[in-house]
Amino acid sequence: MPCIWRGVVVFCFTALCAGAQTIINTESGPWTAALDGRWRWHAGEDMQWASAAFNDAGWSPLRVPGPLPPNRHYWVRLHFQIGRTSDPGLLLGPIAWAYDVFWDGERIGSFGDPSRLRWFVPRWQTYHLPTNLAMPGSHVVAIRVAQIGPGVALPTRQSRVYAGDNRVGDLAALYEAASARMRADFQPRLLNLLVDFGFFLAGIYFLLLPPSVSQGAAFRWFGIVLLGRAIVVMCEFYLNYGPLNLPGNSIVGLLWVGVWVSCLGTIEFSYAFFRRPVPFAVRCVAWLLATLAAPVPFPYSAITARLAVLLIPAVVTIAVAAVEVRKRTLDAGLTLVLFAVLGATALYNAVAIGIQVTHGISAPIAIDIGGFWLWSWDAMYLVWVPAMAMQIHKTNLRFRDERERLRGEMEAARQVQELLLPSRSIRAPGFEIEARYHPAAEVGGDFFQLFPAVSDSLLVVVGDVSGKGMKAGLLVSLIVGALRNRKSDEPRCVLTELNAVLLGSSEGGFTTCCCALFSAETVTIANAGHLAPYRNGEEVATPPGLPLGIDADAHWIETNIELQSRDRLLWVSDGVVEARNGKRDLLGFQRAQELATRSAAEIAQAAQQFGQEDDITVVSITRKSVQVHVA
Amino acid sequence: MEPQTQTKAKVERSGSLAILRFEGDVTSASKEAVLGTYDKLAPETKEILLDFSKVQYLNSSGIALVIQLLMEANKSGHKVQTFGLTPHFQKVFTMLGLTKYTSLHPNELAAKAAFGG
Repeated sequence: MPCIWRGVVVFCFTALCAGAQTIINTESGPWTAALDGRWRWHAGEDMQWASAAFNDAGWSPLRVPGPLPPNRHYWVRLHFQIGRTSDPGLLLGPIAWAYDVFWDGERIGSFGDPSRLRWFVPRWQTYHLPTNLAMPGSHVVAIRVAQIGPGVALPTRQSRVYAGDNRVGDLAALYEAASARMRADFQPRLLNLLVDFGFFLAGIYFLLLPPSVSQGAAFRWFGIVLLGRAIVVMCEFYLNYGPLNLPGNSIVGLLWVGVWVSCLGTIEFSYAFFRRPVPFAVRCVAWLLATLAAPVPFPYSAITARLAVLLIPAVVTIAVAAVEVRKRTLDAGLTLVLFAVLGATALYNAVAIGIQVTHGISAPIAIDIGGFWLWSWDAMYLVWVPAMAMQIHKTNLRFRDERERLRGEMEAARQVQELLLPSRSIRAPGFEIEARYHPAAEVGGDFFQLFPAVSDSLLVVVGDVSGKGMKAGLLVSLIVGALRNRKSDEPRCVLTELNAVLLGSSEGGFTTCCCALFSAETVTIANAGHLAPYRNGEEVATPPGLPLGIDADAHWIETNIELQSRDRLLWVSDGVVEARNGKRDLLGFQRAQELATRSAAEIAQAAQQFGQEDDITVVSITRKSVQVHVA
Repeated sequence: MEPQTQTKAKVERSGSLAILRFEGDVTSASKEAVLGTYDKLAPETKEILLDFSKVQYLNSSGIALVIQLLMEANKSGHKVQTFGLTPHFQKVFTMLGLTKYTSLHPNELAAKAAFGG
């Protein structure tokens, strides 16, 4: 009889549970059993729903597996029986972004905080049960759910209720089951992690490209895009697998920084790639949309985030590339294809995630490669990164060829100038000649010419074209040509001839020039703005004269001086007196005069050591044999 | 080679007098500061004072710009006085024969006085 009554009681209790009874392992020892019975759910918030005595018979059934309720706040409940266990526990799968768990009305744990809207990415989580609560028999688990996740359309784990995910049993076995689930979840993402680490390294590489690399700004922006992507991926992995110390709310802010960087960096990159400034309006709109996309509430933020991350820059960059194709810019075709790939990927992801979030229809956004997943946008970057690396290589080769060509041309110009300027070992009867010429660049703007003539005479022309480099060098060639075809050796006439040649060619510059004609007993000097020569270390007073190439009516006054045997005339260019040291001090006229008795080589070396900024020319002429009388 | 400092130019007007105050190194990169500033002078300008007291260095390209300014001013009938040049560049200006177009003065007062009445 008692057995009959006991059977009736069990039957009544089972009936009360409205058919939600779950088959539970009743053996002792380490065991787990799936809670795949008849879950029921109800929208809303009422703490009385935690109670074991609450009658949930009127609640809607929740299919396992199946879609989760669409509501932001709801409760789920499950009735079941368990057997004996020494260390009981409960394992819940990735059912929600935040929830509280109640066992027979007692709160046994939580995931995030549904009340304060603190969330974690859904994951397998184990809860310890006090032994006095988990006695053999019937029990009720009630879960207060808040779907308050950000809904960011990134490869974070979505909430779900799968068969076998939710279990009860021995705690150690449940821990093992949870670890196994997390490992199984992580494994397909290994490839993704490796690829993204490669992108991170590529980003560093692009960012650290030397300034000499052609289109360096564009590639550095591309590096920033990849580093932005790396930030996103790092945050995703922390959200999915990191410790539950920081709530997802804290991490997602950093994740959005990565999203911002990727989004805006892509736009900057595309314009920099075509060497165009980003229009102010485009930049404003992009910033605005990328900023607005972040706080859009779940679930629509999935779509807006995708739009911000990929679609906005894709549209902008495709437009930029299309414009460049119309202008027939080099490489625009290839880039258009690349951006089309980016745009198509972005569009597909936006649609796929949007449909998944709003309609629950799952569309693949990852490619399965032998059990490993490769996200479609990572696949897209796998096309992009080598293409960009190739582009860098190609532009570098082009740049190197161009640099080599220019170097060759400059070297040729330097050789031509060497031929035009007298060698150091030039000889003239009756004179000791020493000269040093050190251009600041390959080709210099300083010049000197020596024209030995009959009867121990010697015409010396020393000058300096304003400016440096090829332009100055070409003018030097013009001057040397004019000097070799001069009609007169008289210094003022030589200057007048050169002035006529340079008047139409100086383009705002000028040429200083000092001409000296050494004859039997005297030296006749005419100076067009050049530094006056030194006679035996003393500056020769020459009347000021305008440089060449400025005034068609300019004329120059000649000065005659007499030289004794062993007297020496020395010319230096402004590269000597205006050599500047590290403190930006000029070598100056005083020091130049102190050096003026030294050899040309020593003077040039001293100026170079002081700090060469301009071409350095030193010409020294010493009369050897003629006895000269001072006038 | 030392980095060059950018040239700044400031214009002060007083009736028909314009004072062009230069600052920094005057080089080939100073075209806007030198010639651009001169070109923007008011049409009623008759006297120009060039202030180089904050200029430490003029290279040959920079001097070429000053020469162009002086030639333009000469053509336009402007009187130009110059002050503030370091002794080194006073000597360079003198050697270049620029004293044909502008007198060099030790300070602003002397330069202004050189305009006379």
